[in-house]
Amino acid sequence: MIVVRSAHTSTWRQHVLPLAPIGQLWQHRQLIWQMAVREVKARYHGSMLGPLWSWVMPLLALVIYTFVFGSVLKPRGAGWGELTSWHLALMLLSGLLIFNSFSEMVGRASHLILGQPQFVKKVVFPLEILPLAMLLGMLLHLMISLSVVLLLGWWLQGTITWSWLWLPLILLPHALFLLGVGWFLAATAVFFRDLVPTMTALCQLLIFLTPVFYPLASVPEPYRAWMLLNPLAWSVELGRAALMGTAPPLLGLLCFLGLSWIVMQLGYGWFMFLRPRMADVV
Amino acid sequence: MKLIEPVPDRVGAPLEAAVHAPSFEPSTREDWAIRVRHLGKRYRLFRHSRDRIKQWLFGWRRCFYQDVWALRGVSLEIAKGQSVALMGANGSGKSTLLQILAGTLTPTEGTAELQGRVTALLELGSGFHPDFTGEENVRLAGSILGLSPDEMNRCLPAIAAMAELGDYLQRPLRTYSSGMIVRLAFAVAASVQPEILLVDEALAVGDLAFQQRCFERLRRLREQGTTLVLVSHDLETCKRFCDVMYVLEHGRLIQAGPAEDVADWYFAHLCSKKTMEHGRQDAAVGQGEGAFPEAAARITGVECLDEADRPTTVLRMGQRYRLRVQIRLQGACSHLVAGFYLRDRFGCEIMGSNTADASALFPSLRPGDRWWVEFAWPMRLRPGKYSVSAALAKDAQTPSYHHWIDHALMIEVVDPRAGRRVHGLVDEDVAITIRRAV
Repeated sequence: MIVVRSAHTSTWRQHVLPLAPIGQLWQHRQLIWQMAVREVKARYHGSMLGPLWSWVMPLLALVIYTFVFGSVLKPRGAGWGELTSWHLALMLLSGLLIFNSFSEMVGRASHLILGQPQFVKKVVFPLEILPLAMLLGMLLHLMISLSVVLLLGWWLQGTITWSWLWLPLILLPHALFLLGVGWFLAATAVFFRDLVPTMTALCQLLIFLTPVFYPLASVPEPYRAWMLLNPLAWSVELGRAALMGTAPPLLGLLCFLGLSWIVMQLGYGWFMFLRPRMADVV
Repeated sequence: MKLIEPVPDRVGAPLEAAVHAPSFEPSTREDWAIRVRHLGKRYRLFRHSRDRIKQWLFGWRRCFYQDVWALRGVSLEIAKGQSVALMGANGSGKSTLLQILAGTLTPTEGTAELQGRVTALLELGSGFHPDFTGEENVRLAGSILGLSPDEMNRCLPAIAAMAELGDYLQRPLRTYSSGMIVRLAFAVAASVQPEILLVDEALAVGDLAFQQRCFERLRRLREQGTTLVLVSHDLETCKRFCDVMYVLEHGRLIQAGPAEDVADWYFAHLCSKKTMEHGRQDAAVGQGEGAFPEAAARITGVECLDEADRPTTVLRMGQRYRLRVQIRLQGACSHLVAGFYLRDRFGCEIMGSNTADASALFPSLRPGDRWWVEFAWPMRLRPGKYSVSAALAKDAQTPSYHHWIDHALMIEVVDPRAGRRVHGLVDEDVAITIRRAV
């Protein structure tokens, strides 16, 4: 086995080929798994409630939303006016949980490489698995939190809806999108450190451009099509629909999957393009 | 942003023109482990991180950076099973070379080929997380080094034994002492059976017993056929441990060969370089040479003479030698004190003397006077290399100098009576009597 190290060992082109990330990440599956486990353990480390926090926080949010949006602010979006305050809180919470997973990814991806320079300089480490391991940990957290929403939905409706089975299929493109964003930000932040504060600020604005606090249907027509360029609008809308008992449109789901696959692929290509240069800067 | 210290221009003549350039003939042998061809690493120094963006945007119009070659034109070939030391001052590029071999840095030009499973020990304990237990950290570190979970399960008892942590293996890393962390990290790295092991001064930490254990382990790996590349400052260690030594300076390979020879050459090279550095007025540090522009006296020569008045640099133990410091007075001065120091290879001052301590006075101190000051003593220092520093001071109390030269002369003490042991630094004539106690 001969390893060659030269300036031209790898070209970014080989990383943007379709399916390239899957093959390359598969070799590191064991390391990815270990890093993901470490990520989960680190999240709950030292806290007394442990994973229960993933339930407690959404439950608390649910109670507060029910009060605020049921008794103080009454949202009037299309179709949202007739919802009970519990249903309304459910809508808001599911949207918010999905959006939060995005903002957490944005917030942490920027520090991911910069915060662990030892992985860049001191050990030979496949840096590209870091965003993936982080995503796996986040997805677990998201699913635990979403189970609160599901339990409440079960309690409100009295039955389990079959459309809930679509949720994992909706979360898949969402995860791919997050992964692409994660790769892009983690790599770019190494060279462009202003990215961290910029992205945090942008994230706070983006929540209003995503149908979290209102349904997409209430957006007037010329703008609605534009909003669909935001992959988060897809995950929030499709996720909610599935929660309320509507199966997502297959074509829409495929579009979403395609869109987020492209984002993921580009993010990976960008990361691998910058990868050899990172050690010079960190 | 971490900026690399500006260094003098490293881009110069090609390797072949370097003074002591080792000849490099690409061989056709099969048993090579590492083959490096014209390797170079360039850093672009941006004065400000803003300039990096400017470079992307306006790079076609103007250059916003400064090129610094940390490594250039390095070619070498290391055979399988060889132990190799990379020596050089700070910033000479030896760590850069090692990091390129390890794969953490990408070269700018040239290629490095490695044949076999590579393990790099660039830093002990990097990647460890304080909140996890020793075992959890070991498992992750093993995965990073390329061990499968099965292999890890098999290695774990050996690692635990070598790290000597006992119950601590199940406790969080933050409860460890730093020595324990280092022991654990080395135990993991040593458990991998690498074909090529790259070590970057990682072993310079930990206590003496630990270092000895590390070297014991390295020796065993070497016996099993592992190719070793060590980066170190410790000349003695490298000399003892390695077969081949490479010396880098300003990113270039300046010497290569059998470790013993190169180590001696390098030591002499270091000392001569220090002597050549002129104009440093930093007397407290005791480095290089210095003189004040208006200095009234200068050292014009330092030599060592044997009893037959022949200059020599190889001194036999037990014989009497004279150290002659030649002085020329350029201006008027009221007081003049001449002195010398002998330093060993670690820079420790072993002995010294000066004219003031001996109450020796210069008969006259007129401009244009030339004096020889001779210090004579029987050489009783243990065999080894020593360097002589000479200085001219205005008086003995305050450190105000006319002129000084560090490492003005290199001498080597040899023991003509082979097979005798010298205990300690000095071989004094010790009279021994044994009498019955009364």
